[in-house]
Amino acid sequence: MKQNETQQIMIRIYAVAGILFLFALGVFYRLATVQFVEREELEQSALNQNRKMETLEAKRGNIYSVDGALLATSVPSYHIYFDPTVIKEESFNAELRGLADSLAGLTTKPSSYWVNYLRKARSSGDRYVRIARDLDYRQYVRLNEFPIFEKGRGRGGLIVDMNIARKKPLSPLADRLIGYYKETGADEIRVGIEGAFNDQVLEGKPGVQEVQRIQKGLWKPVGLDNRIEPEDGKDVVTTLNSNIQDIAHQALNSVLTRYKAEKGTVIVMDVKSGAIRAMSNLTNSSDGVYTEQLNDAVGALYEPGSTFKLMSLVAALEDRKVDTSTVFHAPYGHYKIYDRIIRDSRHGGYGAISLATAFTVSSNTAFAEMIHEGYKENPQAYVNRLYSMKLHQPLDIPIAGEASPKIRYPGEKGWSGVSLAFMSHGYEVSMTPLQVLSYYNAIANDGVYLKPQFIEQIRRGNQIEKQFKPEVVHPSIASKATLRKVQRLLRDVVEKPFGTAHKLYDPYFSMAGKTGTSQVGYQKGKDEVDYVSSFAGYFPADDPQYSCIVVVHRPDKNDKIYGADVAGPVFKSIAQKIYATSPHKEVIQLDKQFALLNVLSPSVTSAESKKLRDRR
Amino acid sequence: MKRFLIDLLKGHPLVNEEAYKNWRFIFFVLFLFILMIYAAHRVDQKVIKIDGLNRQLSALRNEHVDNRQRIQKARLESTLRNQLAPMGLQPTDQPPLILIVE
Repeated sequence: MKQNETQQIMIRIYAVAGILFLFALGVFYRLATVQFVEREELEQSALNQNRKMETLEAKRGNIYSVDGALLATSVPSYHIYFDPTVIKEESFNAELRGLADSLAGLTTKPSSYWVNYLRKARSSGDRYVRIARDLDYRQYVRLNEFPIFEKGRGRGGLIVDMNIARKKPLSPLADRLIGYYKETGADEIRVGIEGAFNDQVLEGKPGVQEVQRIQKGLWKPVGLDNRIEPEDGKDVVTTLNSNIQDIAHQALNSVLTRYKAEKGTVIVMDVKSGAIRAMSNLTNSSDGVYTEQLNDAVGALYEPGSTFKLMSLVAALEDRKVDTSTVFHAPYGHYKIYDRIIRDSRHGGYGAISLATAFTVSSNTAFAEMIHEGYKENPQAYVNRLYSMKLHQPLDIPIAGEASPKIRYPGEKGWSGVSLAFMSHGYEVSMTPLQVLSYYNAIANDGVYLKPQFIEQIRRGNQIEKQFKPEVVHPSIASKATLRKVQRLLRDVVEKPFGTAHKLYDPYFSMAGKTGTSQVGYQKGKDEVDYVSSFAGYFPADDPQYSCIVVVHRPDKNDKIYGADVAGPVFKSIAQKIYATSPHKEVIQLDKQFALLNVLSPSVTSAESKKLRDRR
Repeated sequence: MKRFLIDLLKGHPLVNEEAYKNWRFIFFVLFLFILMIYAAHRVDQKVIKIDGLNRQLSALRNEHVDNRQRIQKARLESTLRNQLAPMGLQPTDQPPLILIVE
């Protein structure tokens, strides 16, 4: 019996041992499979869960004005969400009104909206309720002090999602010229300086780093060999001057509002370097506010009207077709050519006038006669002369979207027997405001035609990587004699009492330029005609520092429409302000008597300086 | 070999006469393990600290840009003109004159 029991126990022991052995075999088999068969797959899977290659974004470069103002930079922007389920019922009810009032102050929605919105969100159990997007830092700081939100994420349910966004600290100044760069799938949108200097300059090069997951959802870098450092973008220093840009923007905005115009453009250029100091493009939004929408200065062609008389005058003088003393006489202010009649803006015309006067009063008939009669046997010569001054070529600027000027060649589609006469005063030709201004700048710069310059430097920190220099398009667009004559005539337009821009005359400050008032929509009929008022010129006339063009599209027809009335004041306002903010030096000899007076009464100094100023 | 394994299982290396040497080595290995774990924790803490500092840096940078924006806008002539108009001040139409006295 005892032996039997022992045997049975032994059998059970062997059975259990056998089972354990089989189990152990199974474990060993599994271990071997994991170790040798599935090893690579499992290792990779583990790595994917806890390790990854992370892209290290390069910091995008900043854009500055030439006077050091920050025009564009990258800063975090905040998207705010709310988890209303984490807060206790009674706290939620007690503080909901306060939170709704605060949110109403931050957003455009009323307090009642927020009360309903948040109550509904809590009752539905939504744990990711959208509150606001694209908040700036100041708004974000404010929001952190709101009731409920001040408790943070754990107790207040505040969820903050931070993104890097591009900010323009001086917006809306030069918004369109500064522009933006956007990638949308395979496509990209390049606008302004951001677009033109994105590649290899502003964007930088991203790096990569292998990282391992650690606590709190954070990742730590691992392995020094698995890192490629990002290369931050370079900074771009533009030629814009923030103060001149502000002056130009405000002056244009004020005139557009005053004359209820459709849109307008103003550009200020440094005469000696071609550097663009200001470029403003304002268009009437649906709500009557003028905003930067399109860069018309660069991309929109228009018929320049009488501002093109300067080009015709230079061509005729260079080809010796006329002299400034040549007399023109269009009876009753009409010049008939085939079936078309060209009229002067003054009813009855100007009688017999010299070419110099014709330019000063902006006589259409005199210019039509001068160019038509002078070139009708060989119209190619006129167009060739314009072409020789590079007026038919785009300026090839880095900003995307420059429109090519349109100056027809004889024989081309659209050319007719009246083309010469109409081209003489700026019809049947199209240019952008920047192209017209570049030509006027060349006249101010004694014939040197410069390419408009938008960028001064490319920098990395304080180190200059590239310094941009003026680029010459044409070393001399006209002879010195012609230049002297047209410079004098441009001055006369402002200074002579009968000049079309005499309203702009200022005894303290000399300006030179040409008015333009061209018709648009004339093809549709007389009632559909609208106007484009413009003024192009430079200042001071005796030593040009800046050239400037102002173009105002479709001012209210029932109000003033002429270039001198609408565009001229913007030009004068810019010129005066630049003049008034540029210090002038004056050397005075201090004689003994003055020194004595000065010692006795210091107020003599200011009185004397006033006298000196009045004398100038 | 059999004897060695049996001794190892019975824990003889820890209690025999020469155990002192083994204990020294065991403590050394334990010390290295603790050091390794501590270092790994320190790295994690540093990563958390760096993340916090990065957030702080980002906020400060944002504040800097915000303040710079306000200063830039305050310096513009259009802003100054509007703010000083109630005091009867307006932009000069004459440039500042630098008198050089000889």
